[in-house]
Amino acid sequence: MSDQRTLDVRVIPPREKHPTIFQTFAELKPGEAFVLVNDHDPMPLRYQFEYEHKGKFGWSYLEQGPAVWRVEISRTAA
Amino acid sequence: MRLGLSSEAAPDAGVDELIRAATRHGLPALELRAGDGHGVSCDRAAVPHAIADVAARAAAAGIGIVGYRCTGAEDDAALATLATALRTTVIVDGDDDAEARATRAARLLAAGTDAAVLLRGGTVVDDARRLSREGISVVWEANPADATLGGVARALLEEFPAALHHVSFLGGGPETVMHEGRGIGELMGRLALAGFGGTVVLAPSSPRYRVAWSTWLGRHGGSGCGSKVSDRSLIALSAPSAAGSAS
Amino acid sequence: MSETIRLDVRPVEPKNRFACIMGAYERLAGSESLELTVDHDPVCMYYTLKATRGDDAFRFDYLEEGPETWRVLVRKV
Repeated sequence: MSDQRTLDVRVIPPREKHPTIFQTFAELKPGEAFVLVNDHDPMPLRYQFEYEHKGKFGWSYLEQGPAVWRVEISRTAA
Repeated sequence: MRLGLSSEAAPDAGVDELIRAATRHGLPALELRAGDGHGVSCDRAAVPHAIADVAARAAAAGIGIVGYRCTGAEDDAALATLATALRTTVIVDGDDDAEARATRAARLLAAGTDAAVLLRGGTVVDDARRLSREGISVVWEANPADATLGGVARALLEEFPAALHHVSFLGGGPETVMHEGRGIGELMGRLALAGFGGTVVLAPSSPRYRVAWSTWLGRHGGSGCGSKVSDRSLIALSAPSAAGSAS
Repeated sequence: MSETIRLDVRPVEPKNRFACIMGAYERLAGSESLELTVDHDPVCMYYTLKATRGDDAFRFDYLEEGPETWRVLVRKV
């Protein structure tokens, strides 16, 4: 089973959203990625990644609204 | 993985309204429940092209119909006609137990109708294990009130991922803020890491939230009062009464 | 005497919270503070302000740190 990993955070209670995102990122091996799906631009999350995982992650928008934003977040290869 | 919408979230809505609501929220799938107001029924399936037209309209909007949930009162042949016209799976639900539903699903499958069994409650993993051995797919009704979401997800995804047709999630939408600490983050995280390629269909956890869902789906007062897009942002189920002075 | 604007974003749908908070921050006059109430640690707002306004442009002080409620006092420097 190697379907695309998709984490849709729209149904996750606010307090659990970021921990779930960072936990999912933590489980990635170098070179792996998941697609984050949200109902607004997760730019504040990107800033958090910049400070907490600087240089170790990739961030690529696949879709930018109007209803759904999808971002491929990857762990950069070692 | 994609999210979807159950007709249970708007039980009096017609199909086109369901399609619009699903599109508005970026939920590219619909689950239709027998008895809801969408007009897709076994009786209607007898009218040529009526159901196929529904399937075509959904497809044109980019909405997949992930399943048709029956109640147990329907005739097999009628369900077969319906499922074929909708190009979807019959989800066997009802007042009976998993065993009876499995028997029904096996009968439908033997006759060439795609079918899956709805499982709920504390025996989901054991039931799913049995059904997967029989080659029958399951729809897991995931209820935050059970507080076992993460554990059940792990078991289903590790032991028989291929058997999980989709998840029927009692929450999401306007209920998102309510189910703190019930394992929803863990559920979605596990689905993501397992590469689950199916659908998570959203439905109300209780009829008492129908108004909140209706509002969330944009079904109240959609026109007028000057706003191009009604601002629903202040409507939340567990909102504290104090709101900010700045807007 | 500095005035405190209180903003509780808990009733606001998550997708509208960012705009709501940044809008309130933008409108702060020099003598005003923004007391933000949220249902999770607003650390991402801290990082956003750092990245977009600069490390020294603001103060971000926690008044309450969960587990149910977070309150932060934000001021422009």
